[in-house]
Amino acid sequence: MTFAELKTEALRRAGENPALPRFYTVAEAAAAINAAQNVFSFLTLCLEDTADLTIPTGAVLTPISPMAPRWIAPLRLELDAQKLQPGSLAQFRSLNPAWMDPSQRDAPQRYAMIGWQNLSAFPSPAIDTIITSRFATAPIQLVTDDQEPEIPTEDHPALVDFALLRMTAKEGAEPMTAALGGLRSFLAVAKRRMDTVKSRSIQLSYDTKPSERWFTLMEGAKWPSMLQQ
Amino acid sequence: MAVDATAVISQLLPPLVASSVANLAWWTEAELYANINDAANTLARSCVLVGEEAFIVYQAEVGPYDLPELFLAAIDLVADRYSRPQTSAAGLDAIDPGWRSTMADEVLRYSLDTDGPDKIRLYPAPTIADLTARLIYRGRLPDATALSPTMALPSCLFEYVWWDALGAAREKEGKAAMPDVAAVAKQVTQILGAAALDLWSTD
Repeated sequence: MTFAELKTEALRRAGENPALPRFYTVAEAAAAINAAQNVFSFLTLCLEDTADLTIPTGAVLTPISPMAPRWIAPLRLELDAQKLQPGSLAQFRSLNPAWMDPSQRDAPQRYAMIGWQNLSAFPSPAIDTIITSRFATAPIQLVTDDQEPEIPTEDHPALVDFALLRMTAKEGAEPMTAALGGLRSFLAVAKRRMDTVKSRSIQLSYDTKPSERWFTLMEGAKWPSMLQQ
Repeated sequence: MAVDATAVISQLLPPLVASSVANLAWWTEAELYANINDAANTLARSCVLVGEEAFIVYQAEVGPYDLPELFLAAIDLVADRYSRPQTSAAGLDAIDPGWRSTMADEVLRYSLDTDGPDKIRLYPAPTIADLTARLIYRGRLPDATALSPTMALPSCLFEYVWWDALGAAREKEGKAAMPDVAAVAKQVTQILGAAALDLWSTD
């Protein structure tokens, strides 16, 4: 579906005439569709990209976002076609308590993420080093009407479900009651996509798999009683 | 790609039934910024969202050192080439009852609970000035303001911040309160927060 089709459907389901909306605006529908694809890709990690990451000599923490602006999480990092193993600073410490010392610099074999955007390579590189990365990415924001979301085509209708909930936050109870069913549909589609992504992640030996905690939480969620009619 | 707090506020205006921050009926722009900052830092306290490093310059005296302003918890401290263990005040008491005044050439441990929440103590206190220890820590984000609205968050967390700030706004007591919207916002925030915890819960 194109961005125009998604906005039109969201407005129609919100009870508007898409050609002449009155209560909800086209801009609100556009923001809600972009929000929906953002959430979908975050929950499922279904979008991937690649980037070369330059790790400066001796760097302990290297910010990733300037080199990969839509970075969410690493999937697979390689140096000279060899996979770097994921780890933590605690593991690095146990392998070599002096690993940050300049005398210990060498070609990296492992890496750890410190926070969402700082990468730590172990050992710290002895020279500026380019690591090839495949990572889970956030989607490109939709701007023009003919653009299509990057997420799989069969999942596009689910974006409208989430967008409707976001739009009805303006009104509250009754419209939100109706939209909550759509949220459940959206999350069910996200769960199916997440399962597919997870299988693929295991096959490809990716380092980050999509979260399952959110779905467990959603299944046990106690939705507000006023919205459970 | 960062999260722009002005964009979050701009998208909060429709559900708060305002066309601009100037005609917000029940909230101020400052309150919305506060809600946004609370959302981001609640998450930063729950997982390792922000990891940073800082350097502590030895002063050849026994006193504690200031921690970075946005410090939440230590991940690692490297002094004199080696990672050093974090030790409680009780642990230091057991090792050396006179630890407050002990000085030596090599720092062996550090402690965060001897001198208040914004201080770190190196043990033994270094006798040599101007060397440095590297502190890697979990931090919180600097507050976004109208003059400095860029938040160092991944763009995928825009929605987390939006829903959490909306829920906080709609929970505010008064004629503008819409507890149903606040409750749904809380559920959506919990779902997104759970995914964030899985991605960034380790160091």
